[in-house]
Amino acid sequence: MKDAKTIPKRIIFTLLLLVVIGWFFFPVYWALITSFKTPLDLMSSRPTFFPKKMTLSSYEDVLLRSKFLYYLRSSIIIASGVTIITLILATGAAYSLSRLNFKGKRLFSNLILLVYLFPGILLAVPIFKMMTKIGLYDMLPSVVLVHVMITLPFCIWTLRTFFDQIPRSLEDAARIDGASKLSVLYKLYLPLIGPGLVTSAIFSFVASWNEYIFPLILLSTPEKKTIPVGIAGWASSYTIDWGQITAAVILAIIPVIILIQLIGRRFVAGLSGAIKG
Amino acid sequence: MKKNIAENESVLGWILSTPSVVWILLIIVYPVILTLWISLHQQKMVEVNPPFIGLKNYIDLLPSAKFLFQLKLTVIWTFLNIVLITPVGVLLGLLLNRQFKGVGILRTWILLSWIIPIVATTLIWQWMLEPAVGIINFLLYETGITRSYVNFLGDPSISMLSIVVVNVWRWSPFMGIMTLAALQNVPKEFYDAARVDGANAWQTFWHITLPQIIPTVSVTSFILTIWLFNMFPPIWLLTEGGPIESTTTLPIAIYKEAFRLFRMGKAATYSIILLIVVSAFVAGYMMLFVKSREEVVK
Repeated sequence: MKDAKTIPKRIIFTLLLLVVIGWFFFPVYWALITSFKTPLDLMSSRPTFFPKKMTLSSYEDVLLRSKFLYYLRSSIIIASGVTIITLILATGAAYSLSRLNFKGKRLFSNLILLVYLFPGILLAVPIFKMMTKIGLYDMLPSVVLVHVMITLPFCIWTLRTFFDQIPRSLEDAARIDGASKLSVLYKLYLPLIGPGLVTSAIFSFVASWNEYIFPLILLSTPEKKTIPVGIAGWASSYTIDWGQITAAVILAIIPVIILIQLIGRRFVAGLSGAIKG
Repeated sequence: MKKNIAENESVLGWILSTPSVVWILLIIVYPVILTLWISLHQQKMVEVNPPFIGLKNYIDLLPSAKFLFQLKLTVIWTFLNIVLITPVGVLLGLLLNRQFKGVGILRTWILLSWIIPIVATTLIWQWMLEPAVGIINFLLYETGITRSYVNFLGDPSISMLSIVVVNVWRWSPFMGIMTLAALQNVPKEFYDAARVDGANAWQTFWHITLPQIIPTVSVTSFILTIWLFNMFPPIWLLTEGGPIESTTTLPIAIYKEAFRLFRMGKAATYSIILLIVVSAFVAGYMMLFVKSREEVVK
């Protein structure tokens, strides 16, 4: 708008912006600050907003004197498994939805939408029973199996939009040169949808890394727990060390920070596109 | 010939999409059928042959005061969240749609509270809401807003409100980003036309901006309502359904029945009822939506 902004208007806008930024970012800042505080500072009844003395002792506690590294191992194994399987399945599905005509295509699209709406907690009881029956209870692959279902819809959708953007003339040219449909997929399309694969990979990893319900009900050995389940337990223990907990929280947030930094914009676009689509 | 199979679009389409379909059927459709089966049996933990008891679980549960109370809590939880997340999110979207220094960075980083692990959210807020040394109690007391320290999560009279506030913190950026996407799709010519006609800021908002973002906001609220109705982690992590059952919504009841009391049959019954409620809600929304679309066509 061209009309000159009056000064009071500008002040109100700036104040509103500061409130918004404070409200959404202060809690994470507070966790960060807490994780560097000394134990004495932590229990003070007058909390300090900018601690003068910073220490890494909480991080040492987390990394050296807790089960955190076990949790980290589980989380990485599960999230990597989920990422690999999701990419393989989603690429095939997205390609067929974008470029091939086959019976049941519509039904398949709708099935994917259904997954979006389907709440995890409703599956807790039957999935627990299924995994117990086939002997996967307390095994990491059981969580991978379930998490792939959570990541598939978004990744199929994202990759499909990438396939849609590639001009068909490219494929036609390759076909005239005698390439089969499958080799077109591998040799022509895969390099072109690279950014889509990166987006899907990071999304899958973070979605699995963050998920709480299924590792909670499917894993029981303390050393097999994932980071969310493991550190959630610390808050209900007899003595709560908030320095240690906030340090673990900050470590758990790191992959998310990477996600926002690397694919934030594309992720936002995918999100709003998925809702409309 | 091998080549023919790979060349047939129909066959190739099926080959490539079957794994995903099977996966979805195996992890969603089959479990739903299994849940129905379990709900008709007196299943304790994981016995192989639990006795068949027909609809007894449903007959016991549906009319009970406990169930009706939990249903009421679930509706309250969902309602409070929606009426707070929607306006906060829309305002956020409007704010982010303006041009100012750093808006590009803010548009992606605003997702932070939504995208960090739910456990991180709840642990951070448990620490801030801590009754003895928590920062929120300190600030409220020092500024004179409260007369004494409040046990936000441990006092049944405000526990529900506390967990709602945490959840609004987490989810309003989601609504904000959706609103922003809708705002950016409003054709610029609309605003030019409004200015030519001499519309003021309020009229422009009311007659142009709002009608353009309502479809997106309503779809997002609809999906959010479903998610909220079935939301388990934030409530469980913050209060475990307590204190004295004051936050035991239906998803919490499912988890408690199954994994604390080991009554799988009861938990499955809860799940099926929840599924029916959600399906009815979806069907109702679809009918309304289709109806209003038909009216537009007429």
